[in-house]
Amino acid sequence: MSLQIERVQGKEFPCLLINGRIDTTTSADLQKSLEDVLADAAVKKLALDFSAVQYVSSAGLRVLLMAVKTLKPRGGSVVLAAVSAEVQQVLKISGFQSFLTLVDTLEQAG
Amino acid sequence: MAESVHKELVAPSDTRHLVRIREIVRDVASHCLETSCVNRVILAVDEAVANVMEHAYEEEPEPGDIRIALMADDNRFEIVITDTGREFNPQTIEVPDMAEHVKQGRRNGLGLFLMRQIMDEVSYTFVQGLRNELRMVKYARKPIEGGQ
Repeated sequence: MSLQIERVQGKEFPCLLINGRIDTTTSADLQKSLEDVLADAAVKKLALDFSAVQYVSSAGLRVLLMAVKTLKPRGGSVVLAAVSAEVQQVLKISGFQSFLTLVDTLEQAG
Repeated sequence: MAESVHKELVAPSDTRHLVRIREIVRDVASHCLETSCVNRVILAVDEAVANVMEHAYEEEPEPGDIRIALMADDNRFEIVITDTGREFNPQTIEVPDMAEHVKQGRRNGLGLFLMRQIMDEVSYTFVQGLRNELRMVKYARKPIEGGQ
């Protein structure tokens, strides 16, 4: 099962459009994409479009945690847009909701 | 006596089999749990099985199998996951405080944290030289402690 990730540049910060399931078999793909984006020290904020993400396991949470840890010292944040009810449940159970900014649409991220 | 559903499968310890295992868990757990609860249970099982697949046989030349027995009756879903790899006792792993976890940049213990948050019972048995056995239960209606 592969994960499709497309990078688009927003007005002020990069966005990743993610499609698929983020689990132990696909999390390395997301990690690579995030590392590429975050390698630019000028990036302070990052938006992830989760509208086509059906599932996130702890492997995916670890990758999100890596992004949060990278951006926090830069005074930045990770914004998740259009998160499904199922994925929101996982964020709630894990306590990750408090480390991430959730918005209804990608447009609201900025 | 309540009608119950039983399934058992043996899969190679390879994460490519996770998708099939998720579907079997969905099939059995749906017998007694509502959809949102089934989705959470799938995540808990996914964490447990992925942990076995990634770590149980990492010191062995050939990966072994993972045996999964599932049962559901009107009130509970139960799964027993067995492997013959190295001993791993999740009960000895400290469950992280998530705020502290992020502050320290630590990444381990998340899967176990989710398993314990989602399931009503998580217990472990290790039989030296034979097997690891992880048993997890989710109740449709959680029994009252000390009740009948």
